[in-house]
Amino acid sequence: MSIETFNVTPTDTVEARAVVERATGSATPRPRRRPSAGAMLGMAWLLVLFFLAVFADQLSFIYGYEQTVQVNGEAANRYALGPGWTAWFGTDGLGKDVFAKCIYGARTSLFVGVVATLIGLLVGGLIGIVAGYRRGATDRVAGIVTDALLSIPAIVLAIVIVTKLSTLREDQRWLDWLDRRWQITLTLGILAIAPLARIVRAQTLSLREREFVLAARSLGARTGRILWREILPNLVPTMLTVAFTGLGILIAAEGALAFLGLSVETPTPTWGKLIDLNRDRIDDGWWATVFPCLMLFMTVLSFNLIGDWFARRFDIREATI
Amino acid sequence: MPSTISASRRRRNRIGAVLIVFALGAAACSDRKDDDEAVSGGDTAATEAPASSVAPATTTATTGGSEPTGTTAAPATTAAPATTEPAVEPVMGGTLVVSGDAEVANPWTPVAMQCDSYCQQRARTFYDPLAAYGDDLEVHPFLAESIEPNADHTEWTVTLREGISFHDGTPFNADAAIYNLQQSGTGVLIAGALTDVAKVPSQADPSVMELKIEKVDDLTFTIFTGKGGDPNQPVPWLDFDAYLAGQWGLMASPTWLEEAKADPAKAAQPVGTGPFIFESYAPRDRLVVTKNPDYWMQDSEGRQLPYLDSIEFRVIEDGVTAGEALRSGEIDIFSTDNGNVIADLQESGDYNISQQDELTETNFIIIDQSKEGPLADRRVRCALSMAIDRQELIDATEGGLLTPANGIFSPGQQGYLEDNGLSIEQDLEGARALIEEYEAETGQQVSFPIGQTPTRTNDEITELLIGWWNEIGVDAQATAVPQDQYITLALFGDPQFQAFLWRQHAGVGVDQQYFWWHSAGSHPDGELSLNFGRINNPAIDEALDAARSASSEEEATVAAETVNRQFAENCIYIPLSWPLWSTISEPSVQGLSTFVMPDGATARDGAGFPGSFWTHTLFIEE
Amino acid sequence: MRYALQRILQFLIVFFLVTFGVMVLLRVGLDKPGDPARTMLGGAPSQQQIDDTTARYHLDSNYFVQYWYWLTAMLQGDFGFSVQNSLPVRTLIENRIMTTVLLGVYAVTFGLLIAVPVAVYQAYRRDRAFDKVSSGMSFLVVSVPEIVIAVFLSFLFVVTLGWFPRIGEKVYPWDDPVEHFRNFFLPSLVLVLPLAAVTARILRADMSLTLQSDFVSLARAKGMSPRRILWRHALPNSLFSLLTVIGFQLGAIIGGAVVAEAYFDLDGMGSLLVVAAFGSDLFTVQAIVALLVITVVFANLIIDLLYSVIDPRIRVARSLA
Repeated sequence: MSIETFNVTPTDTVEARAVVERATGSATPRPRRRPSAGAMLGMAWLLVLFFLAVFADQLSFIYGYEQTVQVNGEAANRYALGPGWTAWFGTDGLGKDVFAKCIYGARTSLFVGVVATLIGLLVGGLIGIVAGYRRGATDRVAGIVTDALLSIPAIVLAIVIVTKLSTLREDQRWLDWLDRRWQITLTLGILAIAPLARIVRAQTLSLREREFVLAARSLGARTGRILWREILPNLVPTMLTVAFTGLGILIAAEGALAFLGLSVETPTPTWGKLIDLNRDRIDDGWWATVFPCLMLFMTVLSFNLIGDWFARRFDIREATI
Repeated sequence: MPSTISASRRRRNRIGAVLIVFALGAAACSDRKDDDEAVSGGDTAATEAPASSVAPATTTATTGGSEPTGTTAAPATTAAPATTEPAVEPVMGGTLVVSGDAEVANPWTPVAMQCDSYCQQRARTFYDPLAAYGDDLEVHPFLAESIEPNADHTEWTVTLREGISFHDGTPFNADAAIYNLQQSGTGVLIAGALTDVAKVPSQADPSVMELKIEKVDDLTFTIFTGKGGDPNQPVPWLDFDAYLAGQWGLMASPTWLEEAKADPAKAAQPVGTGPFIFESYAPRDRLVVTKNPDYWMQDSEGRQLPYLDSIEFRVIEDGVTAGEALRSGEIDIFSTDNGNVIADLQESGDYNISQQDELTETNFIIIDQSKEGPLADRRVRCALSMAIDRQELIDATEGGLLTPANGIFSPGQQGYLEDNGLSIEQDLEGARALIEEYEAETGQQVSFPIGQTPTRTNDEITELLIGWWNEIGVDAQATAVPQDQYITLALFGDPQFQAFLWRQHAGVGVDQQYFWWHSAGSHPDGELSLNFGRINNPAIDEALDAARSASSEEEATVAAETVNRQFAENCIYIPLSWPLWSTISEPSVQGLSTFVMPDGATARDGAGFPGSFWTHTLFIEE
Repeated sequence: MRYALQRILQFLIVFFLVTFGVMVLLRVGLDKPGDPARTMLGGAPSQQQIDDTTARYHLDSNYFVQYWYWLTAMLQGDFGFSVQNSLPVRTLIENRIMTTVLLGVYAVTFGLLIAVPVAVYQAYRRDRAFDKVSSGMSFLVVSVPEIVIAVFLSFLFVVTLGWFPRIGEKVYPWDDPVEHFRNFFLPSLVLVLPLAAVTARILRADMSLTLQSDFVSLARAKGMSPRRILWRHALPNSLFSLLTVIGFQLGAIIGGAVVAEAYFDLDGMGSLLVVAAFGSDLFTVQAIVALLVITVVFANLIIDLLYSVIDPRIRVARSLA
């Protein structure tokens, strides 16, 4: 799942479905308010994951991820233990517990995903609203900037930005806080801006022609007020939808970056790093690669399922083409 | 095959190699063959000699005898300078595909080469050095006909061989040699090693100083030593000729060197006198060299060397991948220090494995002694060292094949001691006590960054280290530094450089390490300092000076051992392990370690550049 | 015509903006004199080397001047010099561009070959078994991060079955078709699967829409066979969506190529970029980004122009504008 799939979100299936239904008067029921099975599963997974990740330190059944699992006084390194009672997901090359690493890895992945999405929504959303509402020159300029950002393949841009931030940090003292985790977060946030700006702009464009907005304008309300009171609240469903879908995309992107060597510093685990570190020795211990893969997949899937349900629930129609 | 993204990450920290080489290979030990320390395994190895070149799987773990460990492949004979007859008739022709694991991209001019073992391996196909190590661990003249010191080792006279030309036709003579020495000698890193070579104003431009090398005749010249460069204070320098066996002694065509200065693209097309001629180079991909039909050496039977038609050097930065490439037949031979890979290939029993577990570098943690902070305190450093379970570290990350190190002197090196006072066992209690003592005294928590190149193995190493250090109350954070900047940061004492994972100090004699450890080479942070750790220890200085100007090898060895003990006592650096290098090849590849140098001594593979091997007498048997 | 010119102008502006932006980004923070040169050279260069390099590449001029030199050189085919490799950037790229291009071509070709028939059948037999199952699978595939796909494929085909080599070799189809297939199959698959899934989803939606339209009902009434309707009428209608998706996904394809090259050790532009970015090999990075941007933007431009040329509605709209 790459950042570019932002541009072709599953919402177009919604549009098609809605039109078809209207045209044929088909018996397909309207989207129910109750979440679909998939969305429920997704939410369940995320809730459990979130809980485990946040309270990992307090939960006694989770090892520390820096602890070496000992068996009869010996460290269980070199993939000594497979999935089992002592170590639920087995141990890795250094004898550390894979389950623990997966859970703590969730922290980083979720942190990066959430914060990057927020950055994208805030900045991209702002650009989108302003461009969509003001039209004209503002829109043109914003359009050119987003086009420019969109024309660089996401991973390429990510590589350039992360390595650059990394170099900068070495020289400038004031950038000490900008560790790898923040570098990746910022970068992914920047990558999310353009697609989100586009989506928000499209929504804004259609919203601004709606009756309540026209009414507000004819009553002489100021632009800011209109944006804040009329348009923004109606953007929320869209933003929620893309937020969830986007989270999935960005978490996958973080994994890809880890693969390329641009991951968080040792010893902090992330799923991407785990997969990358262990994939060469997959025949020694398949569990150390497979379980992080599963975690990554399930998490991205969950976000997608929820995002998809939101799209159907809120009947989102926005032009992607 | 060629390196790619993740592969470049998997590349191990090579700096060490870079620097050792930089300079200067290993020290000479002129009389070593007398003490039975003869690392070459003495005579017992001879029993295995000719037969093994035909035998399928040669694992030379031990050669028996009094030596603790074996050395390079047994097929070669040993200390005896007699010529070795290859037991099997060599097959002329063929292409050998070699793989190596590091690519420190650089032009091939000796002055600019930032060169690790693999780089040296390749360079020595198209360059010849003035001198080279023999199996007896002595420096033998190679391109030179003779290298003779005067009575007190303050002047060294080099006589070159007649009738040798570079690949481009330029004649190889004293002028060419002196030009090379002067050029390379100005390189930032080599210059640091030659501080005790006398310097005089250059004839071309008196405002510029150059090395004092006097041409005697067309094939002879003399190099003068001088304390700190002062020609009026000659320094007795026992093992000076070792430097001519290193990067400084590589001879390139002056014509080409001039061209490369004008046009940087030329720098990638080297011209030397070597057994092979450079053909093509794609960085991080492959280097191809072809046989030099006019090479100046023949073997003992009068056959023209080299035997091979060409060699293709590939770069596969990950040992595991290289192992698979060998299995699938894509490469014929490669060297690696990756314990897991070696173990795997050993198990399969299908390949020739030639081990080098002596004269290797040391994996250690290099620490900047001059930075303010917890690492400047001896107790902290010693505590960090005590907290490490070296055997577990090796088991988890290297397949258990390395040896826990107690110091920066590896087995076989001058100054090596089985017990130098540093313990290799983990002692968490003792470590904790020291940290607590430090904290009580200074009121400061111990916290510091540990730098590493972003390879998988290093990731695992730092993960384990940080885990243990957490247990004794130390907070360490890992910082990934790209390979390209790694040395620079250490060289200039960058604020980020406090403790780095490091590998360095291969070689034979302690004189080779002089400028890395002597306070004369130590400059404050912010300035270029080859003494990365900014070590300023009078006892070490004294010992290093004594070793340099010793009148006999025994004296030098005693001094070396003193240095070893000083390092251990003060926990200056934290030694981790000694790698085990193996050269693994298809059974059809023959002739490894059988190369006899012009003066009759067998050349020593891997001396100074672990994992490297001579290519003159390699051949492929179908 | 005017539209075409407008779009071309936009393309140029975006190109300049992006390449200039990347150039500046790479040089930001390197303010001390000699810094860009020192960074490019790496290691411990002598002052002479630094001065030479600075002069040769105008590294001390202001950004616009530097950009001008770089652009004019690029247009003449001089992509700059990789100081660390002592090779012209062009040579470096020439060695590797074919691999990436091949991967991209395979991705698009086979992606379409799979997506089109599947989507057509899905639209035809909407909501039946095939549709439901394949839609579900397609959703799953879209949700799987590319690295997980790579790991899975590798585990299955390389480790377990041993059908394909673990390290990719740069064998071209005209050199040895069989070896080429063996080396490129898995990396291509990593790209093909997500692309096929995304394309199929869009196509299905679009075709469902078309199938409910009036002229299709008319055709059915006239007794035209479903096959003819599907392939001769409905599909061509959806061609635009198809093209547009491909255009948008180009960035994703390139990103996927980077990951695939990393995983299977193929020597393409992706790996070159990462190594160059890590090593601050400024000109190489700039050249690669420029090439990739040109590709993406140019492709989108062509699609846009085709769109407007073929679709009479748009042509009319433009002429009225």
